[in-house]
This record gives sequence, structure tokens and C-alpha cells, in this order.
Amino acid sequence: MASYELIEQYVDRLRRDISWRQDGDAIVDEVADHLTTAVEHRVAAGTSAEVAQGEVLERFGDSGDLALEFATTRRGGVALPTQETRTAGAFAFVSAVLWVAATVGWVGAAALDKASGSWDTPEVVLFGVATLSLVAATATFVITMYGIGRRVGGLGVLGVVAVAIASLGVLASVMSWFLIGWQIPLAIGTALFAILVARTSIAPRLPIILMGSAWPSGLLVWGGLRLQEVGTPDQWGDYWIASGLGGLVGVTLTVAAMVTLGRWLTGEEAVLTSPLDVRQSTMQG
Amino acid sequence: MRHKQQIRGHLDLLTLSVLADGPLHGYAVIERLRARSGEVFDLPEGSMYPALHRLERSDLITAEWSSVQGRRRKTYRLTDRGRRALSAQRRDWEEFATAVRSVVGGAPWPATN
Repeated sequence: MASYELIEQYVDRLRRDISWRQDGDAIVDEVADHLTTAVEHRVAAGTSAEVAQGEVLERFGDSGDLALEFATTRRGGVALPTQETRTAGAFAFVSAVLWVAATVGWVGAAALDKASGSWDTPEVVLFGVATLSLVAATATFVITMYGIGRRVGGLGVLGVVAVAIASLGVLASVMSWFLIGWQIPLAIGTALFAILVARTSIAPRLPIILMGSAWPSGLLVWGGLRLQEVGTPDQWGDYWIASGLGGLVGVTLTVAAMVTLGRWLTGEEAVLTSPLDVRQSTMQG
Repeated sequence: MRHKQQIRGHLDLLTLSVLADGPLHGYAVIERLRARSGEVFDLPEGSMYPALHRLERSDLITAEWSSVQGRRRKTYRLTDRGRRALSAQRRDWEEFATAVRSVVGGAPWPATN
């Protein structure tokens, strides 16, 4: 196979320009095949290798423009991993831990309550820890949503609405015992958000589906069991089997989503601190 | 670059149409597009790749890697979903083109009843 120096230089530039993409090497291989094939066709038709390379590269376009085009969404946003989106990924891991902590707190408080038959200081402390963990879990969850929105190049007005609705869930989670008070806004906000993100085809599909279906599924389980009046109500009239299983479904799917999304967001190399900087630097370069 | 903006606006339809004939790699898609348009559609060739990758992410096309003369080559083919999308986009395009022709060419809009 002949070696074409100008093509190799272009391919090296593209490799650098597109290093932020996880499939960057595959794109570079594909482009290298295109450029080499095009040069070979011209050389076979009698053009010199140097002239053929110049013509082919001129027709192909600048590597920086190509990299930016790969990052530009249909809405005109720039979908790039930045330090901001990587930080959001770290928040996703924190959120997963806090959801688990909140669940352990609830289960612990409920178990102590059942064992002692009274709601005393240990139960109150555990429930307080669970509530604080829940507030922090929902808050970091919404920060992750914001980061995902930035990573996919923005989600427009509906994206803002989705995050705002989910944020109502954060505020309501202060009253952690009022399950539907925080679960309903969280379910509506994340379901809408997941649909919008899925439509961009940028984020990995499975964790987005998990994220969007977590709290609607939890509410369905809770509602179904509650309507069937499964189990016996506790001293506050709550059906703990319905609340517990519904919450467990919601938390499990959310934790799975947060861990996977956290790995995605933190696993990407940040391009620059701001997508706007990327656009400007590419335009100036 | 002739018709650059118009091509960009219809790149998905054009790409799916070319791939409806059979599997092709990126360079061949561009060559086929140029040949079938009588050399009129002549966009920066690199622009085709973000479009191909976007169609692949949307499951409208699928891709396979092979080895050709020591190089890795990615070949695209239309999926069933892509065929359905192509049919729908063709219908939209024909309706739009007929309407534009009616206005620009002065011909009456086809009777629908």
C-alpha cells in the first residue's frame, strides 16, 4: 500500500481534533479509508500522488470543521464533553450513593420501629439521616440532569421545563414521608427529560430509559399495591409494603441509571471548559 | 460549492435514497450521490460522515467493518426502519416539490377530490 504523506498529516490532525469522541479512532479509520481510496482513484487515472492528495483534501474539507460538525446537533447546539459535563458525571456517582444511603436510613428506621413498637430517638435520627440523604440525592440527581442536557447540546424550552419539574421534587423531598409529593414531580420531570435526551441519539440509550422509567415505575408499583391494599397499614395509615416496594423499584432503577451515566460522563475527555469556546476557537482557527 | 444549503437540508433523504440501492461505504455514497445528480450535488465530502453517523445512531442505517487492502472499511446499509423513513420522507418531498413547482412554474395545484 502506497504512503501518502499529506493524507497522513491530515489524519493525524483529525485524530487530535476528534480525540474527545469515544469512537474517534473508528471515525479516523473511516476517513483515512475514504481519503486513500479517493487518492488511489485519481492516481490510477494518471494524476500525480501529490496533486491527487491536494485535490482530495480540498474536496474533503478542514479537519476542525469536520470535528465541529460531529459535535453540532440538529438544534444547532454543540454537544461536547466539557469539564462541566465531567463534573456532572461525578455528581451522578454521588447521587447513586446518596439514594442508597436514604434507602438504608428508611429501612433501618422502619425495622427499628417494628422491633421496638415505638418511634423514639434512634428511629428519628435514622429517619432524619434518610431525609437529608434523599434531599441531597434528588439535588445531585437534578445537577446530573443539567449536565446531561449540556452534554447533548441543550434541550430547549421543554428541557428547562423538565428540569424545573424535577426540581420541584427536590424541594418536596424535604417532606420525605410525603412520597407522592416528591415522587410525582420527579417522575414527570425525568420521564419528559429522558424522552428529549433519547431523541438526540447522543446519550447511551439504556441508562436514559432507566432514568426516565425509574419513578413512573415506582409510582405504578406503589399505586397498584396501594389500590389492592396489600399488607396492613402502620400507625400513620401508610401501607408500608406498597411504599417500600415502590420506593425500592424507583431507587434501584435510578441508582443503575446514575452509575451508568456517571461512567459515561466522566469517561469522556473534556474538550474545553465551554462549548461556546470550542465554537469560537474552531472558527478562529 | 453549488446548491450547498439545499443539499444540507435534504442530506438524510439523499443518503437514504442512495443506500436504498444496496450497501455502500462512505466514499461510494458520495460518488453515487454525485453521479446520480449529474455532478450537481457536490458538497464538502467530509460533511457526509456526521450525517452517516447520525443516521446510524437513529437506527435508520447500520454499518459493518471489513478489511480492504490493509485498511478498515465501514460499509453502511439501510435498516427496515430506514426504509420506512425513506418512504415517508419521499412522500413529504414529492408533496413539497409539487407545491414548489406549482408556484414557481405557475401550474395549478393538483386536484385532490
